[in-house]
Amino acid sequence: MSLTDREKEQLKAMIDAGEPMPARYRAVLFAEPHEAEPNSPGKTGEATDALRESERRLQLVVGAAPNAMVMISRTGEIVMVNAQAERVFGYSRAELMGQPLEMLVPERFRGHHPGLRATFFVDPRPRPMGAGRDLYGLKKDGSEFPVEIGLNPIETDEGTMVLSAIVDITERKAAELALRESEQRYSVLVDGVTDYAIFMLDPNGIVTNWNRGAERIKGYRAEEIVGQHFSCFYTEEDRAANVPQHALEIAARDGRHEAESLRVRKDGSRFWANVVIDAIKDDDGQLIGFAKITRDITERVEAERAREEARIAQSQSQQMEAIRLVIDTIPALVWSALPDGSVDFVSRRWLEFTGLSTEQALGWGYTAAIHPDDWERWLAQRPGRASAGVAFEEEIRFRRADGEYRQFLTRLTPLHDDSGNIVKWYGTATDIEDRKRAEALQAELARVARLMTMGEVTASIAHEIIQPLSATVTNGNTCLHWLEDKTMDLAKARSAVTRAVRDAERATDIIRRIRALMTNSETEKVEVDMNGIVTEVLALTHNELLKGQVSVNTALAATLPPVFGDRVQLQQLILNLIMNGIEAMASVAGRPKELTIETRAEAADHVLVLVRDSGVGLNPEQADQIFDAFFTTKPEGTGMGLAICRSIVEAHDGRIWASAGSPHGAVFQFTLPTDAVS
Amino acid sequence: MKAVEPVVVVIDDDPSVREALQGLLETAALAVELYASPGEYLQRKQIDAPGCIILDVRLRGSSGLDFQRVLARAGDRTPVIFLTGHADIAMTVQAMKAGAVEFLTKPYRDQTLLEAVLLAIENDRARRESDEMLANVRQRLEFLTPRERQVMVLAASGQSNKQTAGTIGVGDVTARVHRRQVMRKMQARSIAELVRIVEMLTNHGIKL
Repeated sequence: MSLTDREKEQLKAMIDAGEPMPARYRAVLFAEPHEAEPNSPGKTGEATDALRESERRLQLVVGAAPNAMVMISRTGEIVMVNAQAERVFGYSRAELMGQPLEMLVPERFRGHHPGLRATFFVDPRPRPMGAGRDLYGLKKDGSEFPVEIGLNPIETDEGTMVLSAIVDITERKAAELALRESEQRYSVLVDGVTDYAIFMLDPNGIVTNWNRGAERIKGYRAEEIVGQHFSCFYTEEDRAANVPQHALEIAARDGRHEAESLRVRKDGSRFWANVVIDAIKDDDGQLIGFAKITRDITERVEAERAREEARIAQSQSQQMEAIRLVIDTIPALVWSALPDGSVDFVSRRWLEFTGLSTEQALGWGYTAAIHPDDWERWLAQRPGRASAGVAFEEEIRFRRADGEYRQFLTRLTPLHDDSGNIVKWYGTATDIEDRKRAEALQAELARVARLMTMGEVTASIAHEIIQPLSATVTNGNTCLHWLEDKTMDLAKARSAVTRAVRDAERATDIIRRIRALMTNSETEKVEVDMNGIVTEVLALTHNELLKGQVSVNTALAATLPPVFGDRVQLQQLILNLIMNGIEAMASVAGRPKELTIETRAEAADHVLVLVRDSGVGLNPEQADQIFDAFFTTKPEGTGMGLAICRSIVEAHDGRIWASAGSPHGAVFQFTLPTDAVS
Repeated sequence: MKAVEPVVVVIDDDPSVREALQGLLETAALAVELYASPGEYLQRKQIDAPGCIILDVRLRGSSGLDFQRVLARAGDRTPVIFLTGHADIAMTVQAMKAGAVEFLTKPYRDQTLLEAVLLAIENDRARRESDEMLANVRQRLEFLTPRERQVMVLAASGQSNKQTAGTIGVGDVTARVHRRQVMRKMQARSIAELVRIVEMLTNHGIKL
C-alpha cells in the first residue's frame, strides 16, 4: 500500500489533531516495524518513507499513551496491543495477537459481545462503548476490573478495524463509590439527626438548608425557614445587642464560634441551646457559608441549675442548721418579726418555753404567750418605736407552757434596708424571773429590815420616853391623893411632885439625846454635788420606781454649786423623799404616776431640791405636821421617814417644807447652804 | 387564922417608875418592896404574906414572860400584874394564860392599877387560906387507918353506918366506931363538913 502526499499530509494532520485514523492507514501505522520492513517490497521509496515516518510517530503516540489500546479486526481478532494493554491485562503481546478479543471480556458478557461488535461495524464511528453500562475487563489472572472504552473505527486495506482505548477506572470507581457512600452517609446522618439542628447559612446568615433536627428543635419546616435570616433564632435582647452578627464575625475570623445561651423557637418559646457555628471556606479560603449546629440543652442546663440550686440550698440549709444550732443553744427566746409586728420565725426554745407549735406561734399567734397587760403596753409603744427605728429593750412577761408568766428582758433590734426602711425586727428574750424574784426578795428583805429597825427604834424611843412620863403621871396622881383633905400629908405630896418634876426633866433629856443621836452621829462633811446624789439614788431606786410604775422626770441644773455635807445622810434624805413619793402614789389610779425632781441654785448661796409626786397629796394642816416624828398618813408608815429628813436637813443648816401639789400630789422642797457659806 | 399584912412587890429597872409606884401604893397603905430585876426578887427571903408582883414586861436581860415561867417553876404562885410600854395582843394572851392577873399598858390609870393590886392581893389571900386548909386536911388524913379512909369515903358518899357495915363486911357497931374515929381525926363537926373535906381532897387530886 502506498499513500499519496496528500494522504500523508491528511494523516499527519489527523494524528496531530488526535482525530480517528482512517482504517486504511492501519497497516502503515500498526504493522510491526520489524515485520513491516521485509513485508513492504514494492513500496515507493517516498511513500514508504512517509508511511514509515507516520507509523513510527503513531506507534510512539500509542506506545506512550497512558491508556491500554487494543485494535481488533471485524472478526474480533486482536491485531494490535500496546505496552499499556499488556500491563493492564497481564498478557504478553504474543499471547494476545491473533486471539479473539473476547478473551479480555468477562465470561458473563462474552455471549452477546460479538453481536455488539457486529452492530458497531454496521455504523462505525468513534464513540464510547457501552453507553450507560458498566464495562469490565478480564485479566489473565481471571480478575475483573472496571473499564471505560472508547472505540475508533480505522479503515485499513484489510477492511475496517476498531481501535479501542481502554482506561482502567478501578480507582475512579472506588473514589466515586466512596464519595457516593460518603455523601449518602452524610445525608443519612444529617437528615436523620433529630437531636441536633444542623443547617447551613450563606455568608450573610441566610438559611440555605434545614434538617429534621432543626425542624424538631426550632419548630420551623424547611420551606418556612430556608431563605430567612438566622437572627430569628435569637432572643430579642440578643438581636438588639447584635449578637447574631457578632457570632458570624467570630466564626468567620476564628473558623468557629461556640455559645451556650437562650434561643427562640418559632412559637416564641425559649430554650437553652449549645450553638456551634463553623465557617465553611473554599480552597481559596473564600467564605462560602456557615454550618450551624444547635443542640437543645435545656434539660442539661436545667439539670445543672437544679443541681446548683440543690447545692446552694444544701449549703444554705447547712448554714441555716448551724445558725439554728446557735440560736437554739443560746439561753434566750429568739424570733424575728416583720415591720407590721407579725412573727415569721421563732426559735426552738421559744416553742419549748411557750408550749406553742410553730403554726400557732407564727403570724400573730405569738401574742397568746405574752401577758395581756404587757401586750397592751407594747402595742401602745409600737408606733413610737417603729418611727424611732432603733434597738430597745423592755421587760415582758411570757407565759410558760404550764401557764406561769415569767419576766423576760426583751431586746429588739431592727434591720434596715438600703433606704433606711425597717424590713425586720430581731428579738431575743432572756428569762430574768429568778433574778427579778431575788431582787424583789432582797428589796422586801431590805424593806422589812428597815421597818424592823424603824420599829425597834420607835419601840425603844417609846419605851424610853413613856417610862418617865408614866412615872410623872403616877407621881402627879399620888401628889393629888396626899393633898386631899382626908389624907392631907404635905411632906408626901412634896415628895411626889419632886419626883414628877425629876421624871419630866428626864423625859426631856431623853428626847434631846435621841435627836442628838440622829443628827450628830459621826457625820463626815465633804463637798457634795446634789445632782450626783439625785442621779445615784434614782439608780438605786430604779426597781422600786419600775415596780410602782412611776415615771421620773428630772430637771437638774446644768451647773450646781456643791453643798458641804454628809454624803450618806444626803443620800438618805433623797431616798426618803423618793420612797415617800412612790408610797404616796401607790394607791393612785386613773392618772399617771409621775415623780419630778428638780435642782437649782437658790439665792446665790443655796441649793434647792424639789421632789414632786402625783400622789394622794396633803392638806395644809398636814403640811405643818408632816415632818413630826410618828406622824403618818399611811397605814403602814412609821412616821419617821420625813422626821429623819428634817433632822438631816437641819443638821446641814438647811430648811425643808412641804406643800400641796397642783392639781395633785405633794411637793417637798429643801434648801441647803452651799460650800461658800459653810 | 391570923391576918398577915399584904406586901406588893415592884420589879422594874427604871427607878423613876419604881419610886412612882411605891408612892402610889403607899396612898393605899400597902407595904411595898422594890426590885430592879427579877433576879433580885428571887434572891430575897420568902415572906409568907399575901401580895402581888407588878412587873415591867420589857425588862433588860429577861422578858417579864420568862420571869413568869421561872416563878411558876419555883412554886411561887404570887399573882403578877404586867405593865408594858406597848401592849401587843399575842404577848397579852400569853401572859394571861400563864396566870397573869392583869396586863396594863403605860401610861396606866392609877385607879385601875390600885384596883388590880387590891384584887390580886385578895385572890392571893384566898388562895393562901385554901392552900393552908388543904395542908391541914392532908396532915389529918395521915392519921387515918386504911379502914378509916374507906369508911370516910363511904360516909361522905351518903351511906349509913348499917350500909357501910354491909359494904366492908363488919358489924354495925364496928362501923359506927370507925366513923366516930374519922370525924374526930379529921376534925369534922358534921357529916356536911366531912363531905366538904373529902371534896377538897378529891379536887386537889389526892387519892383516898
